[in-house]
Amino acid sequence: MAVEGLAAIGAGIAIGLAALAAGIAEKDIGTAAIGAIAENPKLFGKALAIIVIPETLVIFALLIAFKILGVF
Amino acid sequence: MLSPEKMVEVVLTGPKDRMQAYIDALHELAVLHIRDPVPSGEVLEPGLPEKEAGKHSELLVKLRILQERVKLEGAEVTEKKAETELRKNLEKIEGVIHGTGISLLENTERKQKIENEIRRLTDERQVLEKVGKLGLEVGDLMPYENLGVAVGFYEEDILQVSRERNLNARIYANHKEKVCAVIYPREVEEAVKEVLAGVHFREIKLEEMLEHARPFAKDLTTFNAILSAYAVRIAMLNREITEINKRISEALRKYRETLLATGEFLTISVAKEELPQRMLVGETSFVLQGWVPVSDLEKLKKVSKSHDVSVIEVESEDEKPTKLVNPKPAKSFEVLTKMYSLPKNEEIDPTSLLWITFPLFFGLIIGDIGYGLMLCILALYLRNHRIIDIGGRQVGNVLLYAGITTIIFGIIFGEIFGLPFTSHGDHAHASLAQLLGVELGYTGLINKFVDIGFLINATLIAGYVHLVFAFGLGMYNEYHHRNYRHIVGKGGWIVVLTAFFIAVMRLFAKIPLPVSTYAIIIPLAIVGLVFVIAGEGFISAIEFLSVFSNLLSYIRLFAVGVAKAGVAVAVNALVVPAFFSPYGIAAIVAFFLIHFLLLLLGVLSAGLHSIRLHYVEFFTKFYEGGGFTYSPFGYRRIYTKKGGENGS
Repeated sequence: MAVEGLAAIGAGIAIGLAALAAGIAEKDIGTAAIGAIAENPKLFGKALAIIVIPETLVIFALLIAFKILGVF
Repeated sequence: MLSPEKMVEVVLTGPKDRMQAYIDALHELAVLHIRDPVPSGEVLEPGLPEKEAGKHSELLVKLRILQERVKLEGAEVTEKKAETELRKNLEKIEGVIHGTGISLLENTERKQKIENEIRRLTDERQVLEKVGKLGLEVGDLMPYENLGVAVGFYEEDILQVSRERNLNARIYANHKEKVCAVIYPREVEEAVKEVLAGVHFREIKLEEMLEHARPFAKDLTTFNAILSAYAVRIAMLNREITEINKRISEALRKYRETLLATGEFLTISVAKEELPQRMLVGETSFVLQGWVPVSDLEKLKKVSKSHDVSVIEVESEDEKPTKLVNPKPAKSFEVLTKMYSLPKNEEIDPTSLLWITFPLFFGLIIGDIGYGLMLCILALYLRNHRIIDIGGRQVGNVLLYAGITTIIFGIIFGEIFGLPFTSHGDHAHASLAQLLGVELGYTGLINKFVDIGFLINATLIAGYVHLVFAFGLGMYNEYHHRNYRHIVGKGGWIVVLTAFFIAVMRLFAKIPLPVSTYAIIIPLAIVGLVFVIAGEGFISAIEFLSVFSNLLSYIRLFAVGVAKAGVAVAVNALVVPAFFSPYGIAAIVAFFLIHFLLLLLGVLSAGLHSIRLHYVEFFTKFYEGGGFTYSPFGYRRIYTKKGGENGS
């Protein structure tokens, strides 16, 4: 297989696995956060901030993907 | 602008015989946020409410119940009513609210009861009508000593099931209404029950319904007679409701304004009458504690002096209430600050910073002229309307700012509804120029799909500046709290951040450095860490890498935008070529509909990512929150006015 093809698959795996991991992490945090918001609706803002923390993982993966593809 | 209103804690002491008048004056002034007293158990004890407080609050509760049932607010109020007038007429209004006979509470309650009855009768009538379609009469459906009867609704085919089970019973069924009557000898009752359970049978309590109908139906032997009796009864109740409605609206027409004014009068009275409970009262004097904005202190002192009340300012470490003061355009962004947490009184209020950076980030993420215009229209609509509980002036204003920056970034990116101004390379299938059939000189300054390296670098620089600013605010906070050691810590973080920034820029932007990158970043990182450990302790150093992830997190400004633009391009590739086909109009409608949907999704993701950068990356460096709202003792009058004379 051509190197570019393997690179594209590699980039795809990087993003896909990172997104999956972020999803799994956010699932658990989100469940707990919804519980906390149900107890005290004022926590909404802070809960939101905590839920989205794992999202950064995907951004790391995005950079790696760009690097693999040699976009820049 | 960057800090909430300064507050000062005061202790007010005065003679008890002037208390009443002073409370009135304080209420009018509306500047004091009262602090609940801690009883010392010695000379001074919390006071007792005025003797009328109980009566007034009871009436207020009844008025609130009434307001749940009928809408009082809305129409124009012609004149403000005087308090003395309202006090004089209180007994009469009490009669209107809950007196026996024709009072509003009684009428509305009766109305609710009748409405419930009508609902029940209508349901029963429908059921009986269906049973009537079986072609049997009431007498046929009454059980005997040896014969059982089950009437009800079924789901599976009952005739087939009973045939399969060889059931010894007579079954009448109406397939259309799914209603049946089963008449069976008592000895097979068990088998019948099994079959009925198998077809998900829901029994109708026929005898109970007949019992309900007995008071108003003369003839209970035929379904026709029963049904018409039901109809007569329902019509009679409906007439009664009309009668009651007439009475209610007549009373409202006459008393609506008075009721509103009385509600306000009672709210104010109860607050005043219950205030002594929040004071310490002795035999001859009273003590009241609270917070006042520094700017209102002179006003309070003047009023207090005229009532022989002394005002003593006290220094205390205790938390003070927070009143946000922001320039008018930034005020709407308080909603975003409060969603995280209200700042403490002595803290930096980040609202005006949000006002600058939130729309910037938002616009950068979406960056599309068409979406910006749609968002502006949506924002203007939301200022005065609500969609699924989202809306209001503040939300509308925030979105309006976001819409404007979206248009500006749209011009920079040269993008309108995902269409580039002019096609470039193989990245776009359609362009605005192609669609209009003209040459456009301008193609946008930056292209989202081509200038990826540039955009990543730009967002990283934005992130670096944002984070340094956040640490700077953190330093200011520590300086304010005289935590000089922590200032060193925050400074250390800035150095660490800078080391990471240089490393990342070297990696992505390939900026040439005079010496090896490592020769710069490793010493920088070590020096930064030493500062951090010196300032905040060893445990803080664990967060070393989080600064790195904070910095990279800003790349989302570009990444989310590209993902969104990618979807828009895909939509255009499908829909735009169809513009010139026989289905052109349908394609154009689909174009705007899909893009509006994408806008809603975009607002959600751009708003969420933009606010997240503030909450997670920005706020954590300096912001704590957890303040409580300044709510002074007082009331903004709408329907009433103080004093005796009547007027407009």
